[in-house]
Amino acid sequence: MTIYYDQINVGDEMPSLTMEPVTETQLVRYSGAAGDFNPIHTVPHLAEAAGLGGVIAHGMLVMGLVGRAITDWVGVAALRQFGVRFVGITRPGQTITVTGRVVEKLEVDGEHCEHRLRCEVTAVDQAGELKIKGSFTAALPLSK
Amino acid sequence: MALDKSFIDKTFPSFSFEVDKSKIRELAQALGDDNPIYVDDEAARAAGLPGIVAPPTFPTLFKMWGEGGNRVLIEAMGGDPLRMLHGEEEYEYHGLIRPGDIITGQAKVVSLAEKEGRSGHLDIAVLETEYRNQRAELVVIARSTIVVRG
Repeated sequence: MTIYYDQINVGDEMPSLTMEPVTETQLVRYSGAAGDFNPIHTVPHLAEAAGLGGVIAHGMLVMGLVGRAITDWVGVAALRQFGVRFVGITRPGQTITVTGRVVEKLEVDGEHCEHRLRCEVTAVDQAGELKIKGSFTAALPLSK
Repeated sequence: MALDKSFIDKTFPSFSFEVDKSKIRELAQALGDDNPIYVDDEAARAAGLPGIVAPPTFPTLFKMWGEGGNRVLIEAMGGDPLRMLHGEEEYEYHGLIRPGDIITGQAKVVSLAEKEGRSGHLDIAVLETEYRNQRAELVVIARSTIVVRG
């Protein structure tokens, strides 16, 4: 479903997305996919030794989950900017929910004029604990 | 130990990464993302794309597999990689990343700051990497904020 710039208002919510719970296997899989072999994500005794109380998810994995919610809504080609701050640690067993809200609409002159939305996004776990705070900008078509 | 300030504005050696379909599929699967635009050219074209594209956080692979990782840069500046935290990550998108692309990254240090936090001394480095494809087109700029605990 295409969304149109003129049909979106400041304050509108991005459809929220709740993921499957993060699993240890997913952390192994993500390490291999991303090429991030820091053992704090995959090797329990080394994560313990690092004072983390067990393996923790890669920040970039959680950013990837936020990206999933964004591209479900606006697609990949529309994305112009996407930035996050890593606020909290994510552990296996936690369920991430991504929400977002339109905070600005802007027209950008360049080679051709673009209509862009700026949205704030957050990722929280099932207890509402904040993991990521971020924002993205996407260029959208007009309905006519 | 403070990071070496002489690195500010210096560029690091470039590094390359060849994008293939299986790596795109692997990342999408690791994220639990079943969007067919990451695995199926037909479906991607039906969604208005030229074919399979990479998901938005795919540029993290360029660094990790392309030997241009934050860890390498922090070590080069005299920081202890075991004391590194990833504070922020930002991507500025200029073009699509597609299977077959050969992406070359060029990283530089944008800023180095020191701060006394509640838990002690912190070094804060902002690293910026420009990625271009085999046609020299800019596809993405990545900015990483790395905190090194003192």
